[in-house]
Amino acid sequence: MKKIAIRIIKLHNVSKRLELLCKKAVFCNENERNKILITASELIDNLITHGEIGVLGVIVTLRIEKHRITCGIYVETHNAFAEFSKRMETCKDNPDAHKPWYDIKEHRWHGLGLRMCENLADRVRYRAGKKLDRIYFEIFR
Amino acid sequence: MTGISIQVSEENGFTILTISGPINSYTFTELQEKINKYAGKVNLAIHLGGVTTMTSAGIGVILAAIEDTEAAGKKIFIIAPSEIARLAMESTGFMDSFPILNSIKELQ
Repeated sequence: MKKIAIRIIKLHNVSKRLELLCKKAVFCNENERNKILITASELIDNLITHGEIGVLGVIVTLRIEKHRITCGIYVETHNAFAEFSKRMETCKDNPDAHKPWYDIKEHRWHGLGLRMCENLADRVRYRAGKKLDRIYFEIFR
Repeated sequence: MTGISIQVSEENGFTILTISGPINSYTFTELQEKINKYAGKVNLAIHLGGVTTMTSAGIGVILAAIEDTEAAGKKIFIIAPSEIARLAMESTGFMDSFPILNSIKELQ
């Protein structure tokens, strides 16, 4: 088993830091690295958009095993995340409950990122905590 | 590169936006401003060959541009998306919505 971790402190560095993480994941193939990069980017985008990344920043870990890759994303607890994770847990087996839709008035899509993460990763779990909120996604090999 | 680069050029009656770098919540406003300037007004081609990652923030902008441009009776194409841009678009489940060409030479 291999483990890699990075910390992201500054928002403008998110993509650069995630690219570094994937570069370190030499035991993953290109498709796996691309899935990790898009999914982690999407999840961190949402943490930034709907919450805060806090003074500690975001910690991203990769655990690479023979049959699965697990990515963990850790961030300081935020109230909005607790509500979101509860909602996601109740509809985790019903993807249609949060399928993407286009808001003509706002001229923007909603739920597109959630669908992307579900399609790229084999499993995504959202866990609110007292000190840290956590998101785990797995890619089966 | 922490930001995106957007180059504008003209070819075969199309305005071509050549985008390089990451498209995420940090950079998508720049993309949105540039695309909104042209979407629905001209025939538009968006070259994604240099895109290093793409989140739903950017994909939403591109999907909206496709709708606006087609509604206005203009043409729009996505040109030569990088592997990661193509994977991001596929992951939405709306791959059929993206009119993709392999190169600028195919524009007509």
